[in-house]
Amino acid sequence: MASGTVLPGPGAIGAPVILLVEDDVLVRLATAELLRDEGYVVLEAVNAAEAVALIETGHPIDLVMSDVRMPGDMDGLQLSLMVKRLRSNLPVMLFSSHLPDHGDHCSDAFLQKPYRPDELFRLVSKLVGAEWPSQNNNPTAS
Amino acid sequence: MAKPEQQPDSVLVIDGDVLVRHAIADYLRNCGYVVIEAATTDEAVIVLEREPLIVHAVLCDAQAPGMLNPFEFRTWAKGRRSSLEIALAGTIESAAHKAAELCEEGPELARPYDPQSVAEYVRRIIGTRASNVRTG
Repeated sequence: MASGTVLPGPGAIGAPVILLVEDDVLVRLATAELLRDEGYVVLEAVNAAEAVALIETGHPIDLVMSDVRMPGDMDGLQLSLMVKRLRSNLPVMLFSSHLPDHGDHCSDAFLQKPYRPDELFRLVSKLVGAEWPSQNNNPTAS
Repeated sequence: MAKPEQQPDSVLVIDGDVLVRHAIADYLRNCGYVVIEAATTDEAVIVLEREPLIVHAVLCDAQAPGMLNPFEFRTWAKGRRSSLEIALAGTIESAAHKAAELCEEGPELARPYDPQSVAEYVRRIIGTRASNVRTG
């Protein structure tokens, strides 16, 4: 994304947008439907490469939610680093049965599986919109 | 499309290209469908085997990856439920045409829809990767 691009604020296109990255189709389906029922727009990616492809379209995104363990060249930890390189203020939430001790990451929050829907909603509502005020304070952030 | 009483209308979209899959799914959601996204026929098999989840129609890329090729997948799915409507699409235009057909009879968009505008919608979403997209 070009430097200086002003991203829409949360809900600017109708509802906050969450990019959900999860390789298990049934977990992805259930989580996406939970979030849609709460009024969020959900973009679905099965791995980190798909997530990056969606981010690079410039589609408004207010939060990236990613599983830690995923097949492919990039796991959730590496994806969090990539997301921050692409959009430094975009919040990232990782979820897994446990957060590995090793491996760098840039996540803003971690949600342990299995989680209750209310835990998910509380954390999501806390993180959604975090990019917008930080971008307003620093208009050149992208 | 024939559907059981009191079940939400649901469409399973299978496409290995995330941008095409997202665009078609987004379009169908705007028509009122519950859309389930699968990146491979393997994921689609898992979804269709999941009870009591009911899928009313399947829109599958003719080049979708997976252990079953899309034609084998269609045979498998029809063997499981012969009434299941399964459309294979080889190009963005044909996928858009099928999506528009579904929307014509969908829960919210009760008017004829121009498939070309759907194809343009898909292309707009995948525009950042225009050099790489499937075309007819």
